[in-house]
Amino acid sequence: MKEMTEVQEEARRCVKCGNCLAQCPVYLETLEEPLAARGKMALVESLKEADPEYTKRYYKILSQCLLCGTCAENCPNGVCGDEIIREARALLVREKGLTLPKKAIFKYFLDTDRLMPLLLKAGASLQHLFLERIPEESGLRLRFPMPFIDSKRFIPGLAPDPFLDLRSGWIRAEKETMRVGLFVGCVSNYMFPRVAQSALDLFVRNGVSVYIPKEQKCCGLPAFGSGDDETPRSIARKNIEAFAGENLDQVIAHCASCAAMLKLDYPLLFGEDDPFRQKARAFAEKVSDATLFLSKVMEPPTTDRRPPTKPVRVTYHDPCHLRRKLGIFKEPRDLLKSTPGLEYVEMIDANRCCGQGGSFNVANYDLSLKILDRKTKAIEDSGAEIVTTTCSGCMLQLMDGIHQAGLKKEVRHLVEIIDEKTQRA
Amino acid sequence: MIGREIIKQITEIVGKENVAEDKETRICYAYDATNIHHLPDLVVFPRTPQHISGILKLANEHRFPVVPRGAGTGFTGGTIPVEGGVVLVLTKMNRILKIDQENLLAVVEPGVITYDFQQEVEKIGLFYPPDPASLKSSTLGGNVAECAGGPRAVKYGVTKDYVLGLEAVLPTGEVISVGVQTVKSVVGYDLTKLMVGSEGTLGVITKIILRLIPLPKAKRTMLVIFPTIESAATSVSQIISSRIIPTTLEFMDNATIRCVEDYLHMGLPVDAGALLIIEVDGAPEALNGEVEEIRKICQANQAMEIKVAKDQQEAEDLWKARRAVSSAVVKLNPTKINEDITVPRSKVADILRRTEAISKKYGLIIVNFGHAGDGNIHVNVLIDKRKPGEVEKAHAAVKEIFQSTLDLGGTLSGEHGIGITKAPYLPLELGDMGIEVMKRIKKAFDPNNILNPGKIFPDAAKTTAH
Repeated sequence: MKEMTEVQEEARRCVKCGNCLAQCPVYLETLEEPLAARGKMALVESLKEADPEYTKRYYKILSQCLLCGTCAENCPNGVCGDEIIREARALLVREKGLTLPKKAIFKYFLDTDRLMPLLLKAGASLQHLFLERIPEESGLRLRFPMPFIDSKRFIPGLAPDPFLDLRSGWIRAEKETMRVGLFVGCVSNYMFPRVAQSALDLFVRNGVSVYIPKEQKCCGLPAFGSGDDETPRSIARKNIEAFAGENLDQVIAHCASCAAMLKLDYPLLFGEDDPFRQKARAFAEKVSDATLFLSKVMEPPTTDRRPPTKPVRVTYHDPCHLRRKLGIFKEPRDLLKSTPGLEYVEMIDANRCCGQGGSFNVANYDLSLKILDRKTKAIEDSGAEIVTTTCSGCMLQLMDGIHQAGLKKEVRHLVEIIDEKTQRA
Repeated sequence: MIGREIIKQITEIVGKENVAEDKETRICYAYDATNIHHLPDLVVFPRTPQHISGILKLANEHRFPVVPRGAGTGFTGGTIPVEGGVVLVLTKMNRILKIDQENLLAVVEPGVITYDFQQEVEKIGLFYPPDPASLKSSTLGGNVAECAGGPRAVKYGVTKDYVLGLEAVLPTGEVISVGVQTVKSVVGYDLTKLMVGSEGTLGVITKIILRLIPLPKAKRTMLVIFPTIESAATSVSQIISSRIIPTTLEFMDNATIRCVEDYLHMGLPVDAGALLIIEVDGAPEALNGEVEEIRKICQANQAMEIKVAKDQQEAEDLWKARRAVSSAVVKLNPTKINEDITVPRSKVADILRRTEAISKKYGLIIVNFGHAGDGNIHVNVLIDKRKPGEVEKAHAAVKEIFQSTLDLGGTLSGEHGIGITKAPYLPLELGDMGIEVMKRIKKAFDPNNILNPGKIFPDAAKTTAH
């Protein structure tokens, strides 16, 4: 948590050259300056330190950022627009005490007290149950705070049983070469347990014993991105403790966003004088993204013994958190290219943000869809039958796009496909 | 300040969705790449020439300033609303209306992004050469208003060489079409040329007819390192006099090389006096000969190293050093005063020597890079505003650099324009009568001085640093 002066000092390093206009996915849909990093830097700079004018409009503008980091990647002055915007959100939360999507949705767009009973009456009680099964602290609650609002939105159902109810504790590899912890993440746990299962199977097949602590929680990113530092801090403590004590070589997250949160943001959640900081650092050291990990431990694929079939054409979408935050883009492609039965095709602008952006998708759904349209078009043009990615947020977003465009394409987590294609016949 | 009633009338003209009066939006349209800020009273996104016409008529009636704006990537403050008023944001008028392959021309709206347009025409083997550094975010309307240049100017010229005609809304509200759709035309005064580079003071551009040329079939890229500025400058002169016109002839001086090497660690010799990136384009069979000729000339001038890219990837690698300059130099000091003086090609070494002397005299960091092929040098004075006296020293140094430039037969601005930042220096180059004639032209177009007031002319400009 940075002080106002610090955040403003960083924003002032923006010299207003306008390079970010060329790349910002949100600006390119709207062509309005407040949507680009440059405009937001000007706004943050302009706040009066003693008496910041936190207007409704300021709130809205701050919500209109994907935190995709494309501006930072292209900034000649090395200004990290995304980080500054997140810090500005955190200042807002500290002042006003509400996370961005909650305030944006509940306060400004809907009067929930009136709406909820109405919707329930209208037969939407199913979704009500949906939320009841998700713990209060899970990021899923921030992703779908009001699942009924957008009737066209595609939301996959919940799995009959959360992954962590089915699998936890130690799962040993036959010839153990390594011991890792598996960070499951909310979307895998509640919606796509098969993804976590695939990661687990792949690791174990490759000589890696896996420890799955049942007490693990949400990574905390959706709240963190919304400017809430308190919730992620308490979650981080629980997660770090959950993976401590088993003498693990590494902790692997197969969701890119979780991986980035655990690795990059956890240490920053604790101040210099917080005794927990050292623990968070040591934990972060051990965290690795699954594709990076797999590219190191996987045995080179043996020739496919199954009867030869026409290879499946796959493409890959770079999650912002993997490409820009963790700098990983080669490994996932190499994994797909070296896997038998797959034909890899690169889509246009694979590293362009899909428009999900956590709370962005909630507070600015129409804008999110416009950004998504370009991605859906790129997927269609690639000719791939399956689009893979490694971030749960991206997966949900890509599914929404493909569903709405009526395309016959599958969205799969990369580890799922690799697992499927490398299983021994 | 614009009153309620006027805002209401503007809203009636353009529609509610195209007007923003909240402070947050206005803050976001207060600046350009100079990082100087002046708050406008209102931000309007016009969609048609009629919208603009309506607003300008109102402006004449009620005497409020109107400032046209593209992407706001200019370097001299051309789009800053120094006297408040309405900022007309033209980014949403961004259709490519026509690409005419028979007549090699295109008709576009002002908000089209330069790079997007280039991509579009290159798909069908055509070429729009002007390539300002901001081309991925700048708009064609802004390029025309500022007469943008770029590295390729040495061979292909600048924006004005590609503008055949314009549709513009005059400051008094009438819509006028100037220019032609033909290569030749002598019919009255050339109003097109007058509008190009007029920095949004004579009209609001609403349509542009651009000349296109065939896309060169091939390109070769070289990077040459020289022991001294002189040896590089002599090579440039000899290359041109051997009847080879490279597409680009970019140079970096020793200070810039050291800066980039510090930043990228790509193995550039930090003791080198200068570095040239040379590109030639044209028919593939002709290029090998040209590359060899250039190599010989550079070798005869004590080149320390000559690299010729074998393919596109290697060419990109050679460009890395040049592209990193902007990011690298700000590491030396946070504030960059970027001037774009231009001298006759043969005087490049002279002006660099003089800048060096000025740098020493004032104890300021000055790095030079830019377009050696056309004498357009980006002189960057790097200062730390927080240090007392540094800003004043920088202004004094810049004034001396300008005087030296003019002494050598050069000009104050190659491609950035005058705007507000260079306005105080205008008399140095134009003299009283030159300025007087321009003022009369401005008055003929804009009797009430409502369109982009406070720009170009020294007495009108009130510069305020951020």
